[in-house]
Amino acid sequence: MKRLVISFFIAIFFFAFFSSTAISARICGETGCAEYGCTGVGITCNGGNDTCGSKFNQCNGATNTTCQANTGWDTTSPCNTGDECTGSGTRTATWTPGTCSTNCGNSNTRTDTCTCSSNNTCPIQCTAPVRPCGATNPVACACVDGPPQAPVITSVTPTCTTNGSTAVNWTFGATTGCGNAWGYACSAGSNTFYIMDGASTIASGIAAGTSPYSRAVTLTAGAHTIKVCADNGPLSNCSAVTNVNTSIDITAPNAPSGGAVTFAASNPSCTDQYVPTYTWNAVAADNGCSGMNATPYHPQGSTAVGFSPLIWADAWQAGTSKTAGSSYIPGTTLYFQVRSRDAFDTRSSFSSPVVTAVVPSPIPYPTIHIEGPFTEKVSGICYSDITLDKNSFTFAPTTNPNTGVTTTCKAKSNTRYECDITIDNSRGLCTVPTTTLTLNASYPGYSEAIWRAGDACGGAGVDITATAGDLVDRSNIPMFLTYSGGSGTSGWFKLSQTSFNSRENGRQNYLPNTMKLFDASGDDSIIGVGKFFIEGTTPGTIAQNSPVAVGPASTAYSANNWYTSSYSHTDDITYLKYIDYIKARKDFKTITNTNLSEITGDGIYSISSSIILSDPTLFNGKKVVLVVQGGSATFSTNFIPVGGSVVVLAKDIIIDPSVTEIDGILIGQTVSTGVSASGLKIKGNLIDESALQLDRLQADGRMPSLLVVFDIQIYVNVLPYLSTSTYDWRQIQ
Amino acid sequence: MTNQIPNSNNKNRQGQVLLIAIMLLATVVTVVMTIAFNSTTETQVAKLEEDSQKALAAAEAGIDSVIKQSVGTNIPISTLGDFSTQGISGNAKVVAVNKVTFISPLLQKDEQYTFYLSDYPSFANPWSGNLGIYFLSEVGQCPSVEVLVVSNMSTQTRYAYNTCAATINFATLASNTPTQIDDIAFQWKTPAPLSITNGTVAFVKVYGGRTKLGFKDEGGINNLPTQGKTIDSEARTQSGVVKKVQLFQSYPQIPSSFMMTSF
Repeated sequence: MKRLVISFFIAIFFFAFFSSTAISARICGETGCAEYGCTGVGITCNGGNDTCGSKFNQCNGATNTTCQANTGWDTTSPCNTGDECTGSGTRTATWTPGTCSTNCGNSNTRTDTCTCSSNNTCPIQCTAPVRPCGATNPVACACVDGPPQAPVITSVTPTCTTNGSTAVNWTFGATTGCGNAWGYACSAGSNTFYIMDGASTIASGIAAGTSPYSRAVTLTAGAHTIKVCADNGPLSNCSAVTNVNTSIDITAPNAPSGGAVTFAASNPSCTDQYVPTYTWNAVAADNGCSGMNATPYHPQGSTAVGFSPLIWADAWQAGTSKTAGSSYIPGTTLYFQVRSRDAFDTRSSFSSPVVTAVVPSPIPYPTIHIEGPFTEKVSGICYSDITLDKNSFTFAPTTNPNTGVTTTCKAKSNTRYECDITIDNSRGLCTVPTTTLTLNASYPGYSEAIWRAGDACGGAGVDITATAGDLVDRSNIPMFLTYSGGSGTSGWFKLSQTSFNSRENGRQNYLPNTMKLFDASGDDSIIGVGKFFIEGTTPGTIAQNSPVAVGPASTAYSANNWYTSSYSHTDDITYLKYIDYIKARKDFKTITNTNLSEITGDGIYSISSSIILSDPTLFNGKKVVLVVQGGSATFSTNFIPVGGSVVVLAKDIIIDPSVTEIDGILIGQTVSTGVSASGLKIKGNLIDESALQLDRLQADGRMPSLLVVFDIQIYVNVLPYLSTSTYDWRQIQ
Repeated sequence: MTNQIPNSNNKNRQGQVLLIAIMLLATVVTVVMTIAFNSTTETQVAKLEEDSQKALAAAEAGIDSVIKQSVGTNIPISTLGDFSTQGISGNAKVVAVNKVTFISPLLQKDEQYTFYLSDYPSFANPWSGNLGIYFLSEVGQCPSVEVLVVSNMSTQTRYAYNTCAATINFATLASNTPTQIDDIAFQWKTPAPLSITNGTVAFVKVYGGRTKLGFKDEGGINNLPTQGKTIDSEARTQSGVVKKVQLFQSYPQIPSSFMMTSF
């Protein structure tokens, strides 16, 4: 134990010894050496005698002088700690540090002030350095930590999202007057931002970059207090709080309602095609915070319920209507639907039910009706109120344009015609309501059946242009029929009081409706200005193999209207047979003088030479059958023997064109009427064993070009001559 | 019994021979007489045939002799040629027949008959009355007729009738009334008689088929006008053979083809 104590004191001794040795080795001005009076750096304090902080040594006051050797206690120096001082009270003197400027760089200083207590009774001073109370001491500032600048939130958007994703936008460091926005970080750290929602950091480690800054954060629906903080490691600084009320919109708007379809004609010329327009009610508001999209509607239209194909481009639009680009014909079923979307493209379902619309039929164009009387134009003169055979008309009307146009023209009655023009505006034909009608009518015996300009007889032929629905009165537009006069260039012929054997198949002998008597004799006016092919109170039968077409004037051949059909008539005698007969059975006189002077009385005369009948007076008062055997008989002048009854039989009967009347019975193998614009009347009868070529055409087409008047008186008068006999032989016993 | 048999056989044989002989004789006589009779008959028939031909020829010659003579002419056959030396007698005479009926010759299709309603050729004594016309005398024919009646020399009236077939359109259908006129049976007639006043002549044309025409005064009291000459010629031979021939020659007939306007 004793050794232990001794060792202890020995250790202390050595410790103290070596410690003091170590202090005395310090250089004046070194840190920790507060050698009083040492003001200059590099002054070597007295070695081994100075104990810093324990004794005041007094320097000789000279600069760069060696500290004074310990010469005893410095009692005159201000009293320092450890100095003994008599008196009472507390004696303190300490350095009070000044303030470093921390905002503007790292080379600034502070001024420390020696602060002494006021109750010192002994001289006191601050040490290290020793300064009297109140003295100051400039001290270089060491590195001081400073906070960065506060970020400035510029926006927190959007406040409405589909998923809470919000962008926090801020700026940083642009407004401070000090050069370092991030402050001074004396300790290790990094410059980053972090975002706080209330007390919670919702984003951190946001690297410093270039202002402005933006960072997406996810916010829940509701109120948020957002601030952005800049952190330089030791210190941070935060922006002011921005209050954000976040909404999340994931709900689609309602589908549009009130869908309806209207149709409009595609254009005035195509009223039979309609373009559909689909309309719907606007969706007033979104079912969320986002609001409606700028193009919130998606309409679809189709000709198929499956909406394929579509009738317009499949796209979103802003408006609440959509018009198809194409037109559709009536009866087409169209289907429509629409949906909406909000600003976040959250889409509603398509409206239900599907709107179905059938393209309507347009109001039909009213039928254009044209009608009027028949008017006959004969020889340049028109006659109204004629009566035709309504069944003999042929109409082939044409229209231009004719698309969708149906025209029917017909004889409404025997006195009027009518045309109806219907324009079908319901089949998508794009028809126009205006069309020009060409009548194209024909009627047997008439060269043309037309409308005339101004409804005037002299007007040029015209078509009628009519528009459906106009108010033009077309109820009295005459149709002009120009009588062509019989067949070809020949005029028409009429018979009176006779029977007729037509030797020409398909004969056309059209009578004009407006007739005029051949002459004033009344030969063809027995029952008035009749409209029969065979005039007279007792007309006979027409034997014909094919019907004689008599045209419009009459509905019957004659008053009796007796005729045969497909009947082959057999001649019971001919010119040649008659010659043979008279040679065998008749008394006749052969004459040779072609001037016929040998005809002196009644009877049968036969001549073998051709003759010219130029003097009818030779036959006055005579009943003569003149037979020209093998030759011709030429009538060179009108042949009207007074009181005579003449029958001329010849192989060829030639009538001069100048002859207008022959009274007698003409029988020949051929008969030539002569080409003439004058009519010819044969009063007696005309028997031509061939088909007559009528070459006469009256200038006035109302009159027959040939009139054959059957004269029974001549037959009665020549009965003994122009006859045969029958014999009935019987053996009685 | 046995012996009696030979005697009986001899008697029988004798009878049989006699019978055979008689029969042979009769046969020979019959053959001879037949031959003789036939020879005589043939001679007589040949004589009669010859006389008949002579008589017929004489009668026809009589007709030829008067055919151009007027009514009332009567010529003895014996005056004609050699008939006087042949002992043929008889007369040919022209007469006019007036009856209430008249039958026309057979008219072919499209022929006509000129029926006189007055005297010819003067057209005097125009006939008035109810004239019935009968037609369809031939089996299987369906004629139609057109009648043109001329009165007062120039007034015309026409009628048309169909019978079993309508040859003429719109003509009146005749009455299907089988009627016997003289010795001709007609099946159809005019449905009503034609009322004729001062008739001159009528022309009846036949369409579609052949027929005779029957004309009858439906009043039954007025004889129809004479329609021609009737020549009755009778010739008799010395052997007593008589032949009578009658020829009717109509008055002039205007052929149908000369009355119908035709070209």
